[in-house]
Amino acid sequence: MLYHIVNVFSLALAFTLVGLNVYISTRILNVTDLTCDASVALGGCSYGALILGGINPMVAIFIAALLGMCAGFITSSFVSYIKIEPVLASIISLSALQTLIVRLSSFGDSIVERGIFRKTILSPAAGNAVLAIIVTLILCIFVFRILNSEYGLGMRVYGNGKIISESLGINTNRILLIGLGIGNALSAVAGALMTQLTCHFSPGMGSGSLVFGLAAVIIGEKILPPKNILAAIVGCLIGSLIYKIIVEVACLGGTQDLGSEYNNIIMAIVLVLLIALIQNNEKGGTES
Amino acid sequence: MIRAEDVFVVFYPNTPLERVALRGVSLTIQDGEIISLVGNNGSGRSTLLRFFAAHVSASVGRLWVDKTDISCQTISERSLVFASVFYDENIGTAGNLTVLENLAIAGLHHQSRSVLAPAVSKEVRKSLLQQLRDIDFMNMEVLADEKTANISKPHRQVLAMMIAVIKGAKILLVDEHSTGLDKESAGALLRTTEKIVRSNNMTAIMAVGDLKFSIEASDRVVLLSHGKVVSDLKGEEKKKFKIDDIFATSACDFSVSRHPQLPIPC
Repeated sequence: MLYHIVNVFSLALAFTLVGLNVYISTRILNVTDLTCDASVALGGCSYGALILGGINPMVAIFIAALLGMCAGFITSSFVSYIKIEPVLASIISLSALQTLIVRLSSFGDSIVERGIFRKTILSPAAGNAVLAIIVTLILCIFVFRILNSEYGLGMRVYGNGKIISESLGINTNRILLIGLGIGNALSAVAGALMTQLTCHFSPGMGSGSLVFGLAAVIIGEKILPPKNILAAIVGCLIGSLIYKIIVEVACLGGTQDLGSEYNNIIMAIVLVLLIALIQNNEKGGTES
Repeated sequence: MIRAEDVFVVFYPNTPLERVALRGVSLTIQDGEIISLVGNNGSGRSTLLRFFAAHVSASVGRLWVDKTDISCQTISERSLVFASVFYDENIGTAGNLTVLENLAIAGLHHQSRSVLAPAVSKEVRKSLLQQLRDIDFMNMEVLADEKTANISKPHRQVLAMMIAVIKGAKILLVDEHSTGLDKESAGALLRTTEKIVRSNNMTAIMAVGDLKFSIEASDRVVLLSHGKVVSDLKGEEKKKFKIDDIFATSACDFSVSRHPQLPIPC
């Protein structure tokens, strides 16, 4: 039981990174990027394949992040250079990446035998939790530093439209490239952590992560109004934990009676109910 | 000096929706001049201003600033010279950022932005707050840390002009920036506009709703009609100009008139 709770907590931390990806794309850059589902699966499967190939876990996480970043680069170059609508561009790259993901997952589906904390003094659950905490915190601080820098100011201007960004001397194409690159790298790291925590990986592991990220952002914004970047990132962390707990409780009953394939629909229903609850309690002026 | 030569702007060319907005506008503007663009709705004032800022591209025509041909420059390149303060305040300011952040990023215009340096450092903050105090416009300094989308329109328009000054643009394009404001705010905004332009030795091309103020404050009045310059008045002639003269030019002309097929500049 304790093992399960620690694992859920670590998974929620990992999914904070997906939340940050959604935060960067929808709130900062104001583009709808659906690549994140594929990035999670790409990160998870490449991490699994690399671990099976005997690569050091830290190096494997780094490579997974790079692959995720490339996924972001692909989507953003479709948007910037071929002028495809962001939603369509991300759907195209998402379905193209599926091939790569399936190829990677053909190397196996389980890293139980090679779990990196098998032979250390830490128990596997504690080791995984420590890893998740360290990686997530480092990346949260990284995102905070980037968005609060002069460069991040440029990224935040991008969300206000092309004319104002360009007239403030911002290279819009490059900003989108870097923004979606960082975002999808975060998602890929989340996928890698997911593989590490559950010891399994499959091509379908990314499905539903976009919903999760969106839920984390929305819940976070309600609990901690995003006055500044720090509040938004902490809100994302809290939102992710809360949503994971709610979903876990909801799925606990569901999985026993219905089977784990119902988890995605339960997640979606929980999110819609939460949004309904939040919207109806909204008072005063709303920002457009 | 800005020189526009034989500018044609055609929307939806060669379709049934074709609309010729500018038909051969030529205009030379000296440094430090304030120009009032007047004319009926549909006469092409906004299109001319948007052409200067590269928001619309011309079918035919060239644009020089000093001795450089900037006809083919993008919005980003032209923003070094031109700054637009338009009816839509989202064109001049970024709503997601605070007032100070807007000014800070204007200071980094076309410079490399560091990933390590904080967005608004202490020294920058201090000097920007001083600039907000100096502008002395409706207690602007108390709004320094407000999100720009949440502040009122006149404040946003003044902010847009401050951005123009900070980023070093020498030519201010003003299009109906005081429209929709109450009389006092509009008056204050117009006076501040004139003050900013004069004190920074900027050139201004304005199309504003308050014609009386606009004509008095400007050095030169350019009357547009049907996408053409019909009169261009300075000094003594300008004093004789009456507002009714504008309405004497007939209202919108929607007839499709073809223009000679000239080479496309870019």
